[in-house]
Amino acid sequence: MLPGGEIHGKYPASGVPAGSKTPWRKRRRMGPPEQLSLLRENHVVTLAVEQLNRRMLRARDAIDRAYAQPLDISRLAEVAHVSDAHFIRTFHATFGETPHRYLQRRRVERAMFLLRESQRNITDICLDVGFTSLGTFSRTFSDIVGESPTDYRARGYVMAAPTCFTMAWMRPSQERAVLEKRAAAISP
Amino acid sequence: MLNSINISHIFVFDQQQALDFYVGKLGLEVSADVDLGVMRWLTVRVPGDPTRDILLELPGSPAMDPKTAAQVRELISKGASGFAAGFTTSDAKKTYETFKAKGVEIADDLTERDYGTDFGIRDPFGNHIRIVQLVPTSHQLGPKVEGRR
Repeated sequence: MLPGGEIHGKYPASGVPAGSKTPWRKRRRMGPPEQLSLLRENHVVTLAVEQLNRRMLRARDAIDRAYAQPLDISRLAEVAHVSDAHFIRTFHATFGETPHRYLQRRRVERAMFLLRESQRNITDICLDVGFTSLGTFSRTFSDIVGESPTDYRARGYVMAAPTCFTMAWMRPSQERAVLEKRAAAISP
Repeated sequence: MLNSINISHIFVFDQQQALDFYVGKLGLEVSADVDLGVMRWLTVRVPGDPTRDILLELPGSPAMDPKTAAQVRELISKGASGFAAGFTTSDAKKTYETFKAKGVEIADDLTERDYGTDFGIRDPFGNHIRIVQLVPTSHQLGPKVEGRR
């Protein structure tokens, strides 16, 4: 038993725990009136940011889920319930890269996964992850990873983490790609 | 030495909304709902598993100043809280369908993986939760018998 009250084992449908008379929202401690109005203003701004963030996150989840489909900006902006131009700008401000680049990195990450874990040939992998041209795939892959799909496969990486985690952690970052490209330039 | 995980926490922005989601939609039960004066100590658990509680914690005063709390909420709403919690189920497909019908936001569709079948959801605040139907381990299959490896 915890100090200060009793345990209620039931889901309180009204939002008010059994035994209390005023809702929690009203019982929260508040500062002096001038602080209060400032808090309210900040709270409105924060709420707007949170709601926009949640929409962007919904679109980002859609990219992570449906990367293999022909996704375009209009469809993703629709998921986020904003205009196309607003979507690209806000996504970039929220996650640090454009939705197009995020999608490319996701597709390249999935291609890296298939190159490591499957025997499928490179053309099949290119189509599996949502690219429609082998030229674009190879160029984008090399640009992001710093080596070609064939070279990457030949190096024979092994991953031990669960696959849902490799998906979150292995999407190549801007920093790593740059470093690898520099390393490749130094030692050809 | 430590024995087990007793309690962990998930930041929520509204405890009533959190109850509607975690209890009303996911089917967890409230294990404690206590007025500590400065905070509402609210924990939930999986029915039938009384050993592990999740604290539905509000980021805010007195533990955090308003600016910090706002930063925490902003980060969580863009998915930056990472992997918040993982649950097991004996029927991932059925759970997936049930959650979908209840309007739970599906982040990641059902996927067959080497450790089982799983999918990802988001709570109303942006926390990432995964549900997995694990493939039986050698331990769960029971003691080794003659002829089986």
